[in-house]
Amino acid sequence: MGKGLKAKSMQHAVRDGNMQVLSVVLVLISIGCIVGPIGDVVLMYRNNLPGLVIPPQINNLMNGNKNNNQGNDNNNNINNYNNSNYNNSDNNNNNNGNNGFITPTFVSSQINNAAKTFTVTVNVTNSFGYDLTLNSMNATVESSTDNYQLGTITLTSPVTIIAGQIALVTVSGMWTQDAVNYVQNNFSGATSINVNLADISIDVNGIVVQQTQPVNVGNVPLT
Amino acid sequence: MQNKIGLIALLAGVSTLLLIAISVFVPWWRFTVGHPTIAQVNFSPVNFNIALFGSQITIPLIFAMNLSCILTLASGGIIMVIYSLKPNKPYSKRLLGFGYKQPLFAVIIFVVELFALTVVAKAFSGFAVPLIGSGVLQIPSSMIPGKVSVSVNVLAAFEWPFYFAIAVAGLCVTARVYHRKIHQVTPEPSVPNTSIIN
Repeated sequence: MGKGLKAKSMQHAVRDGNMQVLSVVLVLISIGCIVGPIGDVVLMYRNNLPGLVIPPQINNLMNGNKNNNQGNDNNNNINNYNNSNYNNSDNNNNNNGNNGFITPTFVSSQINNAAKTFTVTVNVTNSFGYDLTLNSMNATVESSTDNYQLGTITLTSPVTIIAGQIALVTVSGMWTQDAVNYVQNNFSGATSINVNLADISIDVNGIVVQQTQPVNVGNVPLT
Repeated sequence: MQNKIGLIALLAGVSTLLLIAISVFVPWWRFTVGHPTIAQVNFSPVNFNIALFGSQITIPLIFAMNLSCILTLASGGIIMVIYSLKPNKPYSKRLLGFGYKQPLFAVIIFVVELFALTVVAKAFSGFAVPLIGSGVLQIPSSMIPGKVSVSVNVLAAFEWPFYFAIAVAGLCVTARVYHRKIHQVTPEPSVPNTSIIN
């Protein structure tokens, strides 16, 4: 009986020992799974620890290096395209890539006096290196002298401008009879009127930029 | 009855491994900026990436943490499968104790991280990032010069792998509860006396 108890206790001891080994293995698995990859990455970036949390793209932005090589290539392509296709236009086209992400260039305009509407078509160059969609654009046209509302302008239809390419954007506007009366009463004999654009709202790819402060757009011919 | 215990644990283990494979490709939570999209944040414990203007941004430390999570979940899943094959061995309880926690921890940590992310974003940048649904994110005026306001259309949504992860975690907990329940009814087999005598 004593021998039996001894054997039983030995078996229990072996089992407890195995259990402890298993526990240790499980703990090692836990630690290894966590420490292994993180330790590897820390070792890889040991000479550049900020690089662990700041990827190169963000680092470039922080250093003010906004244009990568691809962006420069796009700009060059745009400039080449402009040079080859717009030789007869003014020289502003040649600098489109350097003026900003989107550079409008006047193409044509139409005025319908009977319907009191007009359309203006501009060439827009996307030098951003990413497809942009102009979803909407609205503004109110005001007289710059007393902020009298003359009319409104809106984007005719949403336009997608492919990265590095040029698209035609058409903006339509209308004026009211009150605006006609206002001009006749206050600017009789004038050939042009200085106007502001107010309440400008532009939606590009769902980013809505609204400017409450009026923007002067210069003199608009009345005849 | 014993087969049933094994079956639940087997299902939980296989589901855990399946969850890893799915989560690498489909995020648990997706945050989309703009329409059409200009930026997207895909977030799951095994894959966190930011796509900004079409280029992927990978943060090395987070990539390593994702890898850790993949390994932890994988070890949990494999151990659950091993447990399911031998549910009545003396060491089974320890295997189960290790395995069932991993998906549960992944879900809990994910939810905590997600809430922390929104709170930190609100505290540091002033962006009220929605957790679910669409909204308009107003850029604080302090960040924009002049009398200009900028707002962005955003959309946030939990994707189906998140709900699958909850189901997997539930399955793992069920396997644990079932193990306890069964072993309360049928105690662990002791060493036969005959062998001791002999």
